[in-house]
Amino acid sequence: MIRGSRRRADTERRDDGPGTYAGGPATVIQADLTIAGDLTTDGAIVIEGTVIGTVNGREVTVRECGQVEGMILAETAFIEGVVVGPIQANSVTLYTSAHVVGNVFHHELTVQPGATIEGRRPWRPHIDRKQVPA
Amino acid sequence: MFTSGSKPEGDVSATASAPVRGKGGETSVISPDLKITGNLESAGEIHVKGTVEGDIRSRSVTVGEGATVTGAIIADSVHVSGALNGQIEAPNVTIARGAKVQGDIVHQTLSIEAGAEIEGQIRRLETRKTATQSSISPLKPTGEPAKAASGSATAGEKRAAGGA
Repeated sequence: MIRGSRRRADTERRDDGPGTYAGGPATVIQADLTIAGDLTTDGAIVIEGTVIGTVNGREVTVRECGQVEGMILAETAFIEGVVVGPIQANSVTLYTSAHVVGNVFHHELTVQPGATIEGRRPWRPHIDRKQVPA
Repeated sequence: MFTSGSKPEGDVSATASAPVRGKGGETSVISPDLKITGNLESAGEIHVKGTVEGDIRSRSVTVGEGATVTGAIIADSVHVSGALNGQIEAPNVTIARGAKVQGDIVHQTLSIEAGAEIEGQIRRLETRKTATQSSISPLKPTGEPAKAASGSATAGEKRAAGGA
């Protein structure tokens, strides 16, 4: 399924996304924040800063200015920035500005023209992210 | 429909180098169900509503009600309404009514609302310019919490120091 060039402009709960998060606003890591450590949540995370560690969330968005060095584990991943590490999600969308160094394990994968991936893209059946071995 | 295939600024080498930087200046929010195991470092504002196990170094830090921070907070301005197990080092410190602080408070200006629970020493801070000039050594990207040059920085040692 191709989503087209629709970009996500807001950081709040999205009603048009693949399942609305009803638990409150997303976590926002602003551009000037660097986290050296692991993030774990059942909600949404929007990363515009830098995370050095594992990101485990239901919906993970890495904005164009965002940078993740480590594994991303999610139900849904929207990547517009730089990810150095494996991405394991059921639905992965790589936008034009995405630059991924690592494998992208997915059940659904959308890649916009211009996105770069250095790694393998193995398909896998839909799974529960809580049971994915690290 | 699609933008022309533009690559991120900088080269496309294997290392994550020089990404496009956002303008920043807005508050980073750690929402209630997020748990961070590691250190945070920012030049702006951080509003913690979830759980942080690690040190926080920023310009302004707010620990909301229901939030839990285990580790040191070094900032220019700190406002605590939740639980903190660690040292606060900031020129401007406000402890609100529902706060539970276990650790030393090193301050220049301190405000404590009636009802706040504090266990620890309250000391004055020698004048320093920014949050980066504190006695605690800079952030290490290995994920281990920063160690203090003098005194204690780990949560265990702080608990012992606060209870002594």
